[in-house]
Formats: sequence, structure tokens, C-alpha cells
Amino acid sequence: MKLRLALLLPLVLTTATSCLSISRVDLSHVDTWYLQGDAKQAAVTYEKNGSDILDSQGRLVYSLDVGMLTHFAGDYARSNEYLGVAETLIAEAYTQSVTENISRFIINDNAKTYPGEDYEDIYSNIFMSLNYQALGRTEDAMVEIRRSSEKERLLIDKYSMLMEKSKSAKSDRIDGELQTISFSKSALSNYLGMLYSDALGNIGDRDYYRRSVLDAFAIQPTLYPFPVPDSAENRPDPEIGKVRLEFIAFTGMGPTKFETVRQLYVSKNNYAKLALPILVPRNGRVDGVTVRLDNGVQVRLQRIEDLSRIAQDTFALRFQSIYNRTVIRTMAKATGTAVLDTIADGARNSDEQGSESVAMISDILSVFSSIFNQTSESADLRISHYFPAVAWVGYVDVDPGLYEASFNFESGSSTLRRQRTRILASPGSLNLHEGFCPL
Amino acid sequence: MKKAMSLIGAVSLILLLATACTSTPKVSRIDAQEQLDLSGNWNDTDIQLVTESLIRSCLSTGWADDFYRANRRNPVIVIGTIANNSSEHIDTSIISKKVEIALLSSGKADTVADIAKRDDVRKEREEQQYYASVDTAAQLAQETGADFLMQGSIKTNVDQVGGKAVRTYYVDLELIDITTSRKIWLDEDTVKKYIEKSRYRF
Repeated sequence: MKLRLALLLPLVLTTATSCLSISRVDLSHVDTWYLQGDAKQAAVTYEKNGSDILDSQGRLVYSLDVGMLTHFAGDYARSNEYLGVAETLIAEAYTQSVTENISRFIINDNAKTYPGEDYEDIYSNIFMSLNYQALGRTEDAMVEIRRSSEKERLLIDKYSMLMEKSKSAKSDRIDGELQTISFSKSALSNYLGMLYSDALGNIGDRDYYRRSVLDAFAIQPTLYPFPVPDSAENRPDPEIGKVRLEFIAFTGMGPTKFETVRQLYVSKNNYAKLALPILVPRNGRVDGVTVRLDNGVQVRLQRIEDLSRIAQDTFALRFQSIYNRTVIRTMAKATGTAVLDTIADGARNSDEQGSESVAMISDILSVFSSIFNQTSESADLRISHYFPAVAWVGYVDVDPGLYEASFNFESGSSTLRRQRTRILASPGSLNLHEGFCPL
Repeated sequence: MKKAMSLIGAVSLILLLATACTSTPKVSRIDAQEQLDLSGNWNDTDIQLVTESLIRSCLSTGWADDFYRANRRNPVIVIGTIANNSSEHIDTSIISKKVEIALLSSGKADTVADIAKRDDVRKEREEQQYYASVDTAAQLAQETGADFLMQGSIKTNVDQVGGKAVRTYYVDLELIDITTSRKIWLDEDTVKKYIEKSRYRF
């Protein structure tokens, strides 16, 4: 009976370990196209490897990635389809599966469906709003901004609750520090709200959103350590006969997740492996964006949002609960191994009949338990890959007409990339033009 | 006996699995009046409630009768836009159309083609000048001018914590005298919903 158990348990553990989902994915073939600025080809390549990505990353990451790639490729309707699916999946993730939660506490966080990071939820709406605007549906673009604002308000409540939990779990704080969150208002979302409201003729709303941009900078200095863009602070109406061209540019790539491993010793030979995800920004090279028109007019865009900084800020508090959960899980696993070690030691020192086989079985189980603890612990590294890092804005007033324009993405005194586009400055509508450089 | 029970158990299990694995969606027809809420978002029940209430209000205030007494004809209304100022993608044209149908059906008001459809009508009339016979071609410059413009908006207010939310929709409609810009009728209806999402599922 005991021998059967000894054989069965390792088999179960091996099967469980082999079933663990791995949250890493190699997207270098997609990134090659993306970094060249060819989002269309990047999207095609990504979708070709769709099944692998779906297996390793899940539907949410897939939808966010395709949604963002198709946005930058100019396929706005498809982008909205995918980002809309992503938004629904994030909302559905609020209702957690009990069985998934049990698996998460036995194996690791990858056993649970990826619920999305808070910044992914908010920026999905912002990019959907840009999609609607590009499709000429300003009213729908405004709907997305309102949804984004609603989510921001919900986040404040969510963070307050998480903060309370962190306060009560004082002893479990990471390095004794209490994690706090600064983010409550996106300047970019409110800036777009200001532009759309203006285009829809809602002057009251326009002024409200403009004040909210200024508030975002004033109340969140750690997230906005750069000046308020002139295009938000100072917006005189265009001169009669002139048309305002609004520009928005996105640069860099959003943060990614890496695994960091720590060891917590339970006994001399037995330790708990803590595999934790850390959010790391990908430092972009672009430090300036200038838009040049063929009539010689040029406008230097100004930074309005550091998306990576907001992603890190909102992740910080969630990291606290990931840390606490991981400590409990790994300590429980390591304690199980320690108990088996103790049984084996006790049996070895016993003169009772059959104690040798008990010691042997316990040793075998202990070895497999250790292997399971080591292999089953892996950090949840799932995250979307194609949100940008920084957003820039600006405007210029010109005569109505057709212009050849170029977005110049600069690093120091050199231009890293030039994106040419044709712009129609038409009176009576919002002329919002977007540039993008992932470098 | 034991064998028979095992067999029944096995067959039941297979049938259960087979049913669970079926890929055809289950569709059933339901009464159009039945109230069915799935997501908590704006739906047909809300449209029904709001339009019924606003139409009742619009037709009961007596402005149409006053107009008839003064002009010996029905007032002519052009249905304008109902702006979606909410945080949901709502097709407001459904409300506009329901209001227009109710106004026409009441016999108290006439409507003319709305702004979005007018271009199609004008194009058709222009083409008739070339392709239709002289006797049957619609005449130019014979459109009926509207006396009133109906327009409105939908706004939402959401109060939510965790999985609980109170979502309130404010739908307003107003009738504006095109000559004087005077608002001759204005009303608002509110739909308030309490939505609770379950925290756990199996």
C-alpha cells in the first residue's frame, strides 16, 4: 500500500508539474517588424503564431496585442474589435473561478486566467477612443473617454481597499515598506476628452476636461514630473479663417515583466522558492517629437503622459498582494517537504518493524516534493506587449488645405525616424493626427 | 443488479459529456415584452420604458392641440439627433424612430424626413427630373418645412464599488419652435439600475 502511494504521488506531482502553464513567449519575430515601424506586418506575423500565443498568454493578452498592433497599423475597426474583447475579458475576470483559485494556491499564479493590469484596462479605452475618432465617430470616441474616467474612479476605491489590506498585513510588507499608489487621473484621457468635447460643441465639458488635465499634473507630481503641455495650458481659439491641427504621438514600448527569485530558508537544507514578477520599463530612445509641414511650419510636441510610469505605479500595490500570496503558498509547500524530512529522520532512528521502508518512502516523497516546489513556482509574467511608453501632444493653426507632414522622432540632435503623412486641414471638425515610433 | 447500475451510470455520464460538448448554440424565441437583463447595460427594456414615458408626456401636454387651433393643421416635426453623452455605445436612433412612430400614429403631428435621410430624398427627386415622366416626377421646391425640431440626449451616472454598481440613465427630449427657438415641451425620464456582479464562480 505504502509502496503504491510512493509510486503514485510522484506520478501525480510530475503530471501536475508538466501541466503548468508557462507564461513566457518569444515575440522577437513580431518585434522585428514592429521596431521597424511596420505595425501591419507585425500584426500579420503575430496572428500567424496566434495559437502558440493563445496557449501561453491567454485570450486577453492576445486581444490586447492584436488590438494595439492593428491600431498602429491603421486598421481602426479591427483594433476596436480586439480591444473591445479585451475590455470584456477584463470585466469578466472580476468574477473569479474557485477552481482556478485553488490551483493558484497549489501551483502558481499562472494557473489563473490573466485578469489584466489596471493600466491595460484604462489605456484600452483611450486607444479605442482614438480608433473611433479616426473612423470619424467623435461621439463614440467620447463614450470611451467616459468609460476610462469611470474606471479611474473605480481604481481609487480598489486601491483604497488594497491599501487597507496592506496596512492590516503589516508584518508581510515587502522590506517593511507600505506600498502606496499615486495614480487617480490620466492627463492623456482628459486631454482627449477636451478635444472631443470641443469638436462636439460641448463647451462646458471641454473646460471640465481641460481643468482635469491641469489637475492630473498638479495632484500627481511623481507621475507627471514634466511641465504641463502648452496645448493644454494655453488654448486660445484659432484666428478666424484658420484651422487647428492637433497632433498626438506615441513613442517607445510599454513595460515588460521579468521573474525575480528569492529564497526563504525553512530549515538547513530546505528553502521556499519565491518567484515573483517585476515590472520593468523599456527605456525608449526618443526624447523629442517635431511635426513639420510642407509650408515650413513646425510644431514641437510635448510630453503629456508616461504610460510606463503609470503602469509601474498601479502595479506596485498589486505586487504587494502577489508577494503575500506567494509567501503563503511557497512556505506551505516547503513546510510539507520539511514534515516528510522529519518523518524520514524519525523512522531512520526508530527500531520498529517496517521503519526502514517508511524512511525510504518518506525520502522519496521528500525528493519529489522538493522537485515539485522548485518547478511549480514560476512568476506570472503575462502582460500585453505593444502599448507605447510615452504620449506627446501639440497643435498648430494653419490655413485650410492639404499638407504633406512628417513626424520627426528625435534623440538628442539626431532624427531616429521620420514618419510621413498627408494631412487635410478641414474647417469645422477635429483634425487629430497621430504618429508612432516604438524606438 | 450492481452491474446494471454501473452500466446506467456509465451511459448517463457519456450522455452528460456528449450534451456538454455540443457546439450548436441554443436559441429560443421569447416575447418582445419580456424583461431580460444580462449584462446590466442599456437594453431593449430600457428603450421601451423610456420611450413610452416620454411619448406619453409629449402627447399629453396639449401643445399639438394648441398649434392645431391656431393654424388649422397638424404641427410638422423634424426629428433631430439624440446625443449619446453616456458611457455606453447606445444607438439613439432607435429612440428617435420610436418617438417618430408614436407621433405619427397619434394623428396629432406630422413628421418630415430627418436630416440624415433628407439627402437621399433630394437625390431621388433630382434624378426623377431626368428619368421620370413629366406627369409622375416629384416637383422641386415643394418640401414641407418643419415647425418644430425634436432633439435630446442620454447621460449616465455610475456609482460603483467592487462588483456593485448603481447605473442611472437620464434621457431627455425637447421640442423647439424653429421660428422662435422657444422650447415648447421638455421632459426627462430616468432609469436606475442596481447591478451586482458575483465575485466567485466554479
